[in-house]
Amino acid sequence: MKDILGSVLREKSQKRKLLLPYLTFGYPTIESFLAILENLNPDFIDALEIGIPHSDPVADGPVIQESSQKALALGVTPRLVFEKMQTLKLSFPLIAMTYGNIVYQYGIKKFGQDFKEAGFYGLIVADFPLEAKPLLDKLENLLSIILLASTTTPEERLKKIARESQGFVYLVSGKGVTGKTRIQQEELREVVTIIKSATDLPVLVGFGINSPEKAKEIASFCDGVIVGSALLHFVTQNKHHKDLPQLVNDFLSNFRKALNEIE
Amino acid sequence: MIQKGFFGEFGGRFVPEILVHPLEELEEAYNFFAKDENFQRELNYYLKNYAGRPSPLYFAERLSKKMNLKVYLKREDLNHTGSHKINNTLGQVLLAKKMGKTRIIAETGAGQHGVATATACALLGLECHIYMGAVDVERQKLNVFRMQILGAEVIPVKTGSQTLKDAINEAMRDWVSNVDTTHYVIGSVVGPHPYPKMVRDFQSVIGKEAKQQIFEAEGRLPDCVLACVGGGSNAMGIFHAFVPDKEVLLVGVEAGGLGLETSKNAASIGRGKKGILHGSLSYILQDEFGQIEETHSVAAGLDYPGVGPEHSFLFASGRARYVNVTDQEALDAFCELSRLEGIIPALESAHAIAYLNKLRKELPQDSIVLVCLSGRGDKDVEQVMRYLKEESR
Repeated sequence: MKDILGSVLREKSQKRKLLLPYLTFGYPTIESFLAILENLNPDFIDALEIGIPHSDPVADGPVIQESSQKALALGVTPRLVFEKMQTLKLSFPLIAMTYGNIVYQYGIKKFGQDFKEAGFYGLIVADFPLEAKPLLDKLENLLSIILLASTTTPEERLKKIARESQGFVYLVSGKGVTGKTRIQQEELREVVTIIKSATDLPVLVGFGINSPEKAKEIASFCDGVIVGSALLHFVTQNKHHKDLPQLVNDFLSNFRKALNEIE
Repeated sequence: MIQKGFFGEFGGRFVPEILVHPLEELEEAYNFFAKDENFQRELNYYLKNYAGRPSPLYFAERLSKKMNLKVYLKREDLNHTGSHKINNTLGQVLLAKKMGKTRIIAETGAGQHGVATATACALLGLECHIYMGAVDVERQKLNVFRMQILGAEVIPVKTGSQTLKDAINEAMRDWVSNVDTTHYVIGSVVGPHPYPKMVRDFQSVIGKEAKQQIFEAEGRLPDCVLACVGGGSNAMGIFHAFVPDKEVLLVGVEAGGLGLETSKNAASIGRGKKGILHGSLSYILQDEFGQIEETHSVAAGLDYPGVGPEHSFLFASGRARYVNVTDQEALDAFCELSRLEGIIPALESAHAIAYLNKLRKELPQDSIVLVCLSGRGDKDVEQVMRYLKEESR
């Protein structure tokens, strides 16, 4: 199995801490979302997670829920995501993030073929734990399947997840939904060590990373962070601003600076 | 590996990783206490002395005469709190207490499961929070007050369609935030493994009793067992004992709403297709892209876009039949049972009663039909009055 995403991120992580922003496709509007993407400065980020909205996002907190609902109301469908993303040329890898039923109804193999063609390298399915991974077997050689680990996961299972994950290991920072997580740093540190003992893939922490300071704190003991709700919250506050893409870059550059201060 | 927790291809455990370990713990605890004599003795004590089990099996004479069938009603409406829901909540809250949990959360649509959960929490001394769609809070005020009187906090859910499915989403979000202290009492045979099996087991007392009671009354098995299906807990509860008796026709009645040709219904098996919702693979109502549809039923307890995975399995394997009746047919049956038998049924249960009008054309005269009367209709009286007024205009 070729895990291109894994190779790319592993190499990058040897040079710097990784920053993966998350944006919901079509938020705040389809046009301004695409404008943000086209102007994203690749010096700041290492890959981009794009959320394909679902009507019932149980793992997400209020910020991502609301962005998903707004996007759905604008007529965003998985097919539209594929069509629009196909027209963009971006210099960083894309990762799709969604829920199982979206991929299941699209047709698993077709999802892999289409999204690979549109520039995606990986897929995160928020409600597919390790045991559900065999359902995604048809994505082999199309998309890397990124598995999530959590601080409630027992040690043996963490190692299994670490061995089975591709691209990177997505470690959920604590108990809670996106943007509203109680981060338990000591536990988190131990979990990172356990995962690291079983894989050489980067370990990235997500959920509740809401400031450059927090990013710096967390990334000091893992390979980088995923920033979702905080970024979307920022986008919401500035959605009418003429130069939203530039503001997003400024926002991300602050995270980048903080991450570069580590060591 | 993927077989655990499945009924054929249906079911499973499609949840965020953070819930996998708590679900494993729950499964282990359940498997242990299901075989533990002390636990069973305690649960049976409460079922008998507190909830009022066994519920009677009542031969509905005037209804039978009208239908040319022998209709027996399994009177779950006579349980404490007025529906079958108490069978499950007593089991789960007792289990949660044994597991050392101090906080209970639950979702509710019509409010019956919320009331039954709040009741069990009051009985066993646990803190209780009930998630309820804001729309349902409005249309089921009486049950909201009942829950509050019982000491529960009712949390209106204002996301999505503001009904049952959104209440489940919010309860799951609460659970991922508070897994250490909290047990989530799911109210139907839905959700991730082990819930569909565990809830079915707690509800299977309905069918076990009914089977014995019908033998006492008629000396043989019924020809047909009939129950309404939203998520499907009362139906699984009464079906389970009869699944091995292949000669017994099992019929689940879904909410046809304004008709299957419209989008205003909640017939997940009748109109849905396979998909993943709330942790399991089953038939669900969704658009071509996998977004969950909003549903409609006059009966809030059936107003849900999914169905328990074991029902999907019984349907796919041909063991049970799934049909539907409209809001209007259910309302007619609501009035008919009230007048013929002096029993005001829940609008949910009225769906099962309504299907007798179709069964009578198919079954030989005097066939024995066992109907699960899952709950009483007090909660629905105001809504039915409104409908009847509109009708007479």
